[in-house]
Amino acid sequence: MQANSVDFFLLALLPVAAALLGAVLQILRKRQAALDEANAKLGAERDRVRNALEGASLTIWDWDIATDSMWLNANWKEMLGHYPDETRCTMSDLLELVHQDDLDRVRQAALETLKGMTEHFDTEFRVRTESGWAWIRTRGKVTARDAAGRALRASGTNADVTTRKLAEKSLAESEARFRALSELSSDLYWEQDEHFNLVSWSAPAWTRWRDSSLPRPDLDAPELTEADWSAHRDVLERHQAFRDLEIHQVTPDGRDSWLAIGAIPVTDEGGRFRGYRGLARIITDRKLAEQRLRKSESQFRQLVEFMPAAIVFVNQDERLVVHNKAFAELLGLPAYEINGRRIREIIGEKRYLEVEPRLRRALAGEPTHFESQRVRPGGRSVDLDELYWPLRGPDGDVEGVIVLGIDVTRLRDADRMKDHFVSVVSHELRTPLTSMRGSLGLLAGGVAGELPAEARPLVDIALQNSDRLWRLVNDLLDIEKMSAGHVTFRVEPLDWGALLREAIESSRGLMQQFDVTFELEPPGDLRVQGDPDRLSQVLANLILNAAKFSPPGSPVTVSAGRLPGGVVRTRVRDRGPGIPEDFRSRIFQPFSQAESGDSRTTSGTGLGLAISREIVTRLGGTIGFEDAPGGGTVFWFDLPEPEVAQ
Amino acid sequence: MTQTPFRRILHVDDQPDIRGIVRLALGKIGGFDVCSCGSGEEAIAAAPAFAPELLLIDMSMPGMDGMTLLSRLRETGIAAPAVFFTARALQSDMDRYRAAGAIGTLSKPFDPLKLGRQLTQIWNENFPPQGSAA
Repeated sequence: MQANSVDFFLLALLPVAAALLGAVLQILRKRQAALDEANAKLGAERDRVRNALEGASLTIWDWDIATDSMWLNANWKEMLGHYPDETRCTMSDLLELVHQDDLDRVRQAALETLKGMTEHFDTEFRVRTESGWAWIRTRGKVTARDAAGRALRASGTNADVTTRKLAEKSLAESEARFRALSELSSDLYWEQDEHFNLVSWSAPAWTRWRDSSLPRPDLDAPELTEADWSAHRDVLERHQAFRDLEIHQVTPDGRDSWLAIGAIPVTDEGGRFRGYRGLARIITDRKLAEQRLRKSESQFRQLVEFMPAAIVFVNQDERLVVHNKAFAELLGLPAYEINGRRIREIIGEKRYLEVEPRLRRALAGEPTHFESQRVRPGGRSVDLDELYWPLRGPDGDVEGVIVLGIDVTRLRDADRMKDHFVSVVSHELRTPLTSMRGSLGLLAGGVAGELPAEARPLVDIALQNSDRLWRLVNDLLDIEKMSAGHVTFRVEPLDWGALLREAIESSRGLMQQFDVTFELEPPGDLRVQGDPDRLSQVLANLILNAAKFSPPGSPVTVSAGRLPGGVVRTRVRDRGPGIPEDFRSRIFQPFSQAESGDSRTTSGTGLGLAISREIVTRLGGTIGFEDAPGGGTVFWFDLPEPEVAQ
Repeated sequence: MTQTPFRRILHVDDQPDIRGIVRLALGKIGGFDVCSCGSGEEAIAAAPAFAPELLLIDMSMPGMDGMTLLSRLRETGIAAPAVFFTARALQSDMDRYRAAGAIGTLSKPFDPLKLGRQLTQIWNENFPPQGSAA
């Protein structure tokens, strides 16, 4: 019965067992489902972390310190370009990649964290990549320690910060450049906030400007004119850029100082005005130079304007660039009708024809000078001394012509009056002189019978002096006629030897008067082309001159000879003291005589040499003088031979 | 005194001094027949009777000047060559004088001892003596 009862018991237990089994299975199924769900969740979580890490370009690392086993995820390969997807290596392997200059810093930081001196490890260093160097920022901490506190395990991330580091480097370089620039530049850099308060400036340049040690520039009260200031206010209030605003300021030691300021408005990301950023340049030297230039120009302009001579600057196009008051008055035109116009339009065709060749010559670099007569707008005639002078630029090129017209009317009037006076006086002198000279001549000629012995020398003295007066009157009239161009010459071939003999013969009276002798070196068969009367006059003048300056008892030598080129040179030589140096340049000028204490040498008119030069020049010859070898002076003149003259 | 190609000289000058000197210089020294007149009118009146062979006329006289006188003399049939005494001895005036019938000029002042020779020289220059080269 026991077996039966067991079986029965077993049978009775069966449903229970089945129920239990079912429950167990149920539980198992549930657990499996939970496990599956957890696994799925884990997988999703892992994906999210991986995606996040990949997205953030982060490498995660895990370091088992006891075994020195380093694990890094696949991103490390991305960063370096030369690691397997999942990397296992040692710390030493890693340190091999670190830049030499960064190695100590990395070691130091790691050590401090391992020892527990710092909780986190955070440092940046360079590692070698396939293509060069990458900047890595590594962050991590110790994740497990043993009972003694020794670090067993550390984990963390590596991030590629190359782009930021390069940007930082470039920014630093750019800042350094800017600093150097603002230190060295004579321009001052400054910034203003939106209320126009100065918030930043480059101090060295400010200090230079202020020429003081005051650190802060004071731009609150720039010295501007009312109009300039209100215009500038407008610009500022409209937040516009501006440049070349000039500000004047007196330095603490009382000197004038100028700045030129330019600025651009600064806006924030939202486009709101945040102030100005600008440069200021010290322009004191330039302003002072400008002031000096303006002053000097004003002085010269006034000088030109009020010169009592007409002044015009004509450019290469023959336009009038500058002219003065006297010029406008001469033309009778207002300034606005003169400026910038062509000289041809202003002075008219007829006068332009006269002026043009001179203008052209001056434009070609050759100064010219001439006298002209013009009629002023009022009808009065003026004598003008006109000078055309090339106006050269800094490089020496002719840029135009300066025309200077000096009114010499009064001078010419005085000349004319003088000529007239001389002419009238000379003519008036002639009549009484003719009577005197005639009477004396007749007396001396014995017309009134033989003169008593005592009377003879007295009549001779009177005769000599009236002859001298006669010469003076003739000389005066000659020079007047010649300078007026009223003398016509009778030019013909002359037997020169005969003329020289004649000249000496008619000067024979001088031998006794001055105690000299005359020598003629026979010139042979010489002929010259000239006017016999006038050339006799020249010879007489030169012989008289030589006699006057000869020491008593010395000879005056007359000679003539042919020179190359069909020219005959005639020489008159004395043995006198020579011509004083200071007199040489004006010896041929009218009324000039060398200073001399000897009264007999100053008894002439001072016109003889001037007349002689005039005559010789008119006959196409030249006249001059030189020191004679062995002492004395040689006066010479050259005249053409007849064949050459024709 | 050598033979001169002319003898009778009519001299006209408003200055009595000069007339006196010329009369002496040409008459007493030069050996000419001189008729002195103090004005153009006087000369016109005297000329026909005197029948001068040479006229010596002062250019600048008050009233009738030398040029006018010469043309008036020509109108009355006096054809003798004329020499002008001229204070204004401008060479450029010579053409004008020649056109008026003058053969030369003499300037003042003059040397009375040479006056006759100067006149003869002017005559000979204008009328070369017979037998000399033309």
